[in-house]
Amino acid sequence: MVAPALLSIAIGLAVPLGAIVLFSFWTGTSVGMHSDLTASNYTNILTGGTFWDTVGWTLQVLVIVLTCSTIIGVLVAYFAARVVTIEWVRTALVFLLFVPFVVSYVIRMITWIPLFGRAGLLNTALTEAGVLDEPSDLFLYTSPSMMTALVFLYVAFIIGPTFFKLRQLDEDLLRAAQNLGASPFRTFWSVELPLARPGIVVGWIFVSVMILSDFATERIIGGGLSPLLAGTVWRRAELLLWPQASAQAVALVLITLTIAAGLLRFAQLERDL
Amino acid sequence: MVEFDEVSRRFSDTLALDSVSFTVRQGEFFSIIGPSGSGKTTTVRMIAGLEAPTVGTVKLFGKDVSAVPPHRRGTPMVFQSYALFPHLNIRDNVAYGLRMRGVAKPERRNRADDLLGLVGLEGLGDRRSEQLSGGQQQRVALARAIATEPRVVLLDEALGALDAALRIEMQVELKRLQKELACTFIHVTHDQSEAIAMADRILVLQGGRLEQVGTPAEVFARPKTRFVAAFVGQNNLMDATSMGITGDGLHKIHTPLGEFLAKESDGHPIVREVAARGKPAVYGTIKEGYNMWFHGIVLSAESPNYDAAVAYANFWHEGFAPAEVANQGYMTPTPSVAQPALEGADSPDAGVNAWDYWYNGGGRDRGSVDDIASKAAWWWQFPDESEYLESRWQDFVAA
Repeated sequence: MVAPALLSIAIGLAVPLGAIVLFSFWTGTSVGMHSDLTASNYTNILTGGTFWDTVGWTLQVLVIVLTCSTIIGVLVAYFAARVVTIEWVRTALVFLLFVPFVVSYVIRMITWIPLFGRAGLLNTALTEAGVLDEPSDLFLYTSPSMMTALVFLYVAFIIGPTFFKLRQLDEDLLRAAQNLGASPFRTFWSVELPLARPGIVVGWIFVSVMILSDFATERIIGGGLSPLLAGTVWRRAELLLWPQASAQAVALVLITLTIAAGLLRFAQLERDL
Repeated sequence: MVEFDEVSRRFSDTLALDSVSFTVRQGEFFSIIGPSGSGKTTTVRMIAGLEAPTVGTVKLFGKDVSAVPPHRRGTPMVFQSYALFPHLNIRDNVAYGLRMRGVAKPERRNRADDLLGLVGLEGLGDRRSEQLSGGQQQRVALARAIATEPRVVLLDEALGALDAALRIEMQVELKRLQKELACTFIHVTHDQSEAIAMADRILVLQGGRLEQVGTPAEVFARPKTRFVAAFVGQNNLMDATSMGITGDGLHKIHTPLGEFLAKESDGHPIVREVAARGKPAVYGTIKEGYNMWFHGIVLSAESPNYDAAVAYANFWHEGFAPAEVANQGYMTPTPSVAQPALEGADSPDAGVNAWDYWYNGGGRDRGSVDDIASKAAWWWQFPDESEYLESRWQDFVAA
């Protein structure tokens, strides 16, 4: 019974991954590769500065995006779980959360251009209102615009688990906190937030994995000037530098796994599972 | 110190509390009892501010607290679910209230450890709540509630989740704590024996309405309504019909068990005579224009002596120690006297040997007499109850 599952895992995951690991030890030529084994792809990565710069930049983006989307996500989740008291409104809000996902990721990205471009809605509105003297270039094809886009692309993955965690919470705990002298804010800070942490961290894992594998947002919204890790792999592959791209891909997988594992530990999910 | 003035609470289309007024006195152990849905949890939550009255005012220490949010009321509560914070260890749970008050960490930790000692959980401060048994969690919840030295502590079905033996142990402990702390305990339960065992006064609620407030003795022995009679005493209730008043002003009452003569006394008519020996205690309505309640001890007509008191078997509720009753002289707990002939009686417990009933709980498992008797000194809270029964008895003998 397990055989078909194992087979599909072997074909769908182990073979491509194995191939990538194998290619990462092959020798690259100007337009391809041949099967002489070498470790130079890795030594190049480890000694070359650009790779580490990209890792640093990616982690920086990751931390900023996670911070922003956690603040927004927790606020929205709290609003939906606690402030909204009418059941159908709450259901509608949760449904709305997933509506963007019926639209293709690329479409969602492209819709930013007419909104935030030089002649976009935001710039037009701000210049006509007299806030800006001339249209700003800050809203599109910049790092902040890329990070903003990433936040809004993935914040739902933090809202969702946090919302469900908050809803699951025994209401007697909230009553007990208030009853023992905690104001609504302190109840949130000392009881709800710590207890929603597993939900938030599950969201972090989702968002981290997606940012680490995102190579399109950075191009479409970020202007392609400061690539993230997955973007550099993509660029190597575009140049047909397969062994280099493979070595970077292996490194990317290891980094992703390390971050996900670290977050899982932090979430202390075993207490909930 | 806690005052309800015509308080009502409506939840969409149901009236959870219907114009309830009562006052809890300083230092009192006050029990609120009623079946589920009677509004008792709503009542206690209103004191804590976790629920607001739709109409009426709740006063705490003489002040209307309508506008005071729960975290400023200082009315800590022990929840049925204990509601211990799962992300904090036991010590930090107990210290939570102190932390909210801004007590410094070392001080509140020391205080929490002291409190854990007080409830018999020394050295467990570093554990998590899921590592403790139900009884231990209950004690933690209690320690957490009393940590801030409140003037009033609320207990919402606090013992409800414990097993029977543990519950009795905790009742003793709660009572001890309440005396030690000299603070007011307001305690909600659906278990009348728990209320009778602990309370100084009992409030009986049903369907959101106040049925009766009084000492356990009053509520137990002089129920004001049929509901209280049935709920608190778990008595056999019978409908009775007045056959008219006899020449000496006694009600002649017809019941399924036979005919009785009843005299009104303190507004409560009591049964004076009995048609058959050893019938259970009788409660009922006198119809024919009177519509009142009567209750009493059914005594033997042939031999009006104490062995007739076996009929108390139904009258007393579990939680009363038969040995104590015997010491009071109201019953000799020997099987020989306790052989009422209940044949023909159509009450649920008819035909049950009264001693058997007491000893074995009338078929319900109630633990041994020794066990109950060891708690007797504490269980027995009715110094005036014996006088009450004595006076009834004298009435009977005199007549």
